[in-house]
Amino acid sequence: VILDSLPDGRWRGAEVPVSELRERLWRPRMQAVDGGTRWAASDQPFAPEDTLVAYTIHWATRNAALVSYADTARTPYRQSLLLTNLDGLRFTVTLLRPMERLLAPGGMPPSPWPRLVMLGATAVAVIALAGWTAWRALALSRARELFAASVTHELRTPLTGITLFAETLLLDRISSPDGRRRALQTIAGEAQRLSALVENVLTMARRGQAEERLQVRPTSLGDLLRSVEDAFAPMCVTRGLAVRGTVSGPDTATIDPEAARRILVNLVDNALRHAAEATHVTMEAIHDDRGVTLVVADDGIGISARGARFEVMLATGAPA
Amino acid sequence: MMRRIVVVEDHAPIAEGLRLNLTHDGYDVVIASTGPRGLTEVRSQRPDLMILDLTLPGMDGLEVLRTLRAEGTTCRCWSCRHAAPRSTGFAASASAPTTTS
Repeated sequence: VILDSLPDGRWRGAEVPVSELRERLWRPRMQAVDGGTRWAASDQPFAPEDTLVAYTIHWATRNAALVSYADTARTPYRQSLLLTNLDGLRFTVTLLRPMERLLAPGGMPPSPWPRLVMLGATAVAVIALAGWTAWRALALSRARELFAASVTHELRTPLTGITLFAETLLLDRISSPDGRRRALQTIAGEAQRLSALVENVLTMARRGQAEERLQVRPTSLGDLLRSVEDAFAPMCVTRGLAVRGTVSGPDTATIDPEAARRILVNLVDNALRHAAEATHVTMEAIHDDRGVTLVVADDGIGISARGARFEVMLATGAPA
Repeated sequence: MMRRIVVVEDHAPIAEGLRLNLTHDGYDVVIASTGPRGLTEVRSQRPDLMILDLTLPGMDGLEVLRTLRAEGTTCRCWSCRHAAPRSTGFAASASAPTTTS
């Protein structure tokens, strides 16, 4: 390829010459060339120490030269035309500073698009991340609010019972010894319920921090079920409900009795809370080849297929 | 004539405590432990006041109240647990039982 010489001494396609950059490297070489007419054999690169690019002159006349550059730091020759100028015995490489920066291995200026796309993608990712984080924080705080509201609701119910009967007793509104005894029993039962609820909340809070460790030991299933029956005995008497536990097979099983009792109490409590009169709740310990299965069932009202009951409870549990 | 109150409350100790106190104060108290029973009792007893829990088995308190209001029942209603949402037909919540509907 021969470049066209322009009247002003520059070459077509050249923009701004930065001759001072190359001249220093270039001059010693030129002095060795006679007349400037036969430079084609000069196939050694200039190997400039202070630049990434080395040049090889392939062909030259007084007015033009074909050079290629190689990225010394990388691989072979990249065939590419550099804008050159001939000035007497001196060649001036008019490699443009901006072009030098743009030259990529292969000789094509890199497209700005990949960078723009990367920037755009990063921006989108950052915005999405920020949005997601904010959404999560909002969802979490809403869940906390709902949790606090429903826990407060749960705790307030037995507390109301305790306060009601304690105040009624204080006002001397129950005269018969039997009635007073029943009131005290109710207070004791409600206090027990309250303490079980508090225990549940604490267990949940602990579980949020670390996995709860099970304290597994040989346990009498009969005793376990009886202790749950006893816990609900007062409620069963006042509301005409029944809680019965049966064990089929061996009485002893290796379980965590506290955890099992808590689970059973929660299930039975939930069943009774929504139970109409004369509802029966049964607890069964069934042995099979995998271990023991504890089944809690009731013959009361069920849950509608779409779980509407849960929604309603959450809604009414929230502060109005 | 003895004034009559229907207490719709599923938590037995609270219902029992309310019955004890209201009876002591000279009211005729009828207890209903589920939403549908509450409906039946209010329809048949025509009470002067209904004390209504919001979370009830079978039918929640708001639903009970809506049904009764739709039928034209005008007896006073107090919610005995939470502050009730506005514009649901409650006369007032238990903390401020002041107006009638």
